[in-house]
Amino acid sequence: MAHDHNSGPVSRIDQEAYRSNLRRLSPVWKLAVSLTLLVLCVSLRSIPVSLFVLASTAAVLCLAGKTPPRLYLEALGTPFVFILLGTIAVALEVGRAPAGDWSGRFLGLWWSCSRAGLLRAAQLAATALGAVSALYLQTMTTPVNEITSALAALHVPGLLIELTYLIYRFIFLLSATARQLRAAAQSRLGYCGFGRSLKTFGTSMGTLLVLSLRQAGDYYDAMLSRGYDGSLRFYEEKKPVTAVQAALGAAWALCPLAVWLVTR
Amino acid sequence: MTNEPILEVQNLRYCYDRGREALHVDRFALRRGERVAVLGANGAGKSTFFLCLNGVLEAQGRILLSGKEMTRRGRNELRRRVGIVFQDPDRQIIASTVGEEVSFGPMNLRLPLEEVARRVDESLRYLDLASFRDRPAHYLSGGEKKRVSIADILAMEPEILVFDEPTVSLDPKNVELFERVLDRLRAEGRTVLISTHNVDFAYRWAERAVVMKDGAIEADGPADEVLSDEALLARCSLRPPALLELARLLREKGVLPEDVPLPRDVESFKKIWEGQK
Repeated sequence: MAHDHNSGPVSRIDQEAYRSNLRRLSPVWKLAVSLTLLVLCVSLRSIPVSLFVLASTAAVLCLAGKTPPRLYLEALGTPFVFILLGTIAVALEVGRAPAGDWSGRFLGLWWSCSRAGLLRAAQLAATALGAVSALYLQTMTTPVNEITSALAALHVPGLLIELTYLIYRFIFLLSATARQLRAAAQSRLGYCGFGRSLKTFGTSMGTLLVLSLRQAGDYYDAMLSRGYDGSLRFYEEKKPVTAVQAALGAAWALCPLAVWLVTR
Repeated sequence: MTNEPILEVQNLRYCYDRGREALHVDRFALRRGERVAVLGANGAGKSTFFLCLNGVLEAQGRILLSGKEMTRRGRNELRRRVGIVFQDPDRQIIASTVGEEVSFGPMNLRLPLEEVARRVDESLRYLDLASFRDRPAHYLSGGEKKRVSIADILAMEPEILVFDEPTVSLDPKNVELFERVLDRLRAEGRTVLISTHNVDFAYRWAERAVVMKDGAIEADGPADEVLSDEALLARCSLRPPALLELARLLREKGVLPEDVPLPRDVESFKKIWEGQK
């Protein structure tokens, strides 16, 4: 059965997209809802709106999509750390004299923080987190092949779509080759010591380039032998948007506006 | 059924990068329903030969399909009628789900969508892959990927099926599964060409064997004759099939009678052996 050598978070999100219960929904619907939520989240910059987006996408993903909450939280963890580090800089002010509402001396400098600054930082963090969760609604329920087909429906140029598709496929081939090269080098003590590691890494990246060029050539031959003539065509199952889905999607996407009006 | 060759090759020549000739096949013909093993050491030109047969590499010389010469414009027809299953599925599988992958060939044939759907269904069922349709191809095991790569080609419904080193990366269980697919194809009377350096497999399966060396065909004839020519095999860096060697030895020692045909597989060997007792 399927075995899996990639267990990094990215590959787990990828696998989740194939497994999700929400996969049967139209990818265009998901793209539309998640982009609307994203735009509202970023443009309204309101903490309640962001929290609403965060909570509603989490609920839909975990309850309707049956995404394991643990995976969702882990996937949110990485951007959360970045957002936290970024907003600390917004909240804190450093100067030669105390300022703001709270301050303290540390390393010969005054570190201060104001109510307004804190509020701004919180707003920023909530907005960013809400935006990320809106995107997760898409990435955790839609495999890349369906995202590209949704983009095609939105008339994104074919070349970009095909590149996306092929790059996605090649990520797995390249990472498998890179893993093999790394293991082979490790087994010959290639990563023992800093200098040696650097040298081994450089050499193996060179090899990876040569190998992947050759692989790309073989790949192209295989595509030609199946009648490839310059454009990638696959048979896709149609996933039409039903009236109920459209109504629910519209209602969901409008909720942030209502939240904003109420809490303004 | 007529005995006219469905594929004929005359004076086929191919060079990579202006170097020495990688392929020079003077004559080769394939008849409907034949099971041919193409044997040869690494670099003997088997893969190059196959790529030329399918029109991916443009060789000099003539390729005739059912008596009709294929010109440059006929390349698409070559690709439609001669299907290659490549050695490494990871260098063939292009789509991200199994269903889309199998649809790639039929879509390129510009078939109506219902026909594409029918062919995808049929070839997935043929290889026991129906439940894999929506699964991502990059998380499948080696044997499963191999089956997907075969379904890819079956969906194009070619007249001639070409397998390039199909058993190289398969474990014994998957080799068995693969041979079962071959048995079915044989029962359906399909024309199959397989390159391999596994002489035991070739001896078991093929009715005709072609031995290649340095880009040329060194021998072409009934599999049991070609594979019992020790001098030829040694010259082409191949060894005789183990079962054939054993049966010959037993015949020499008078254990097996001269008049019984040599066994092609372990099952028929058993039968002969038990008949002896």
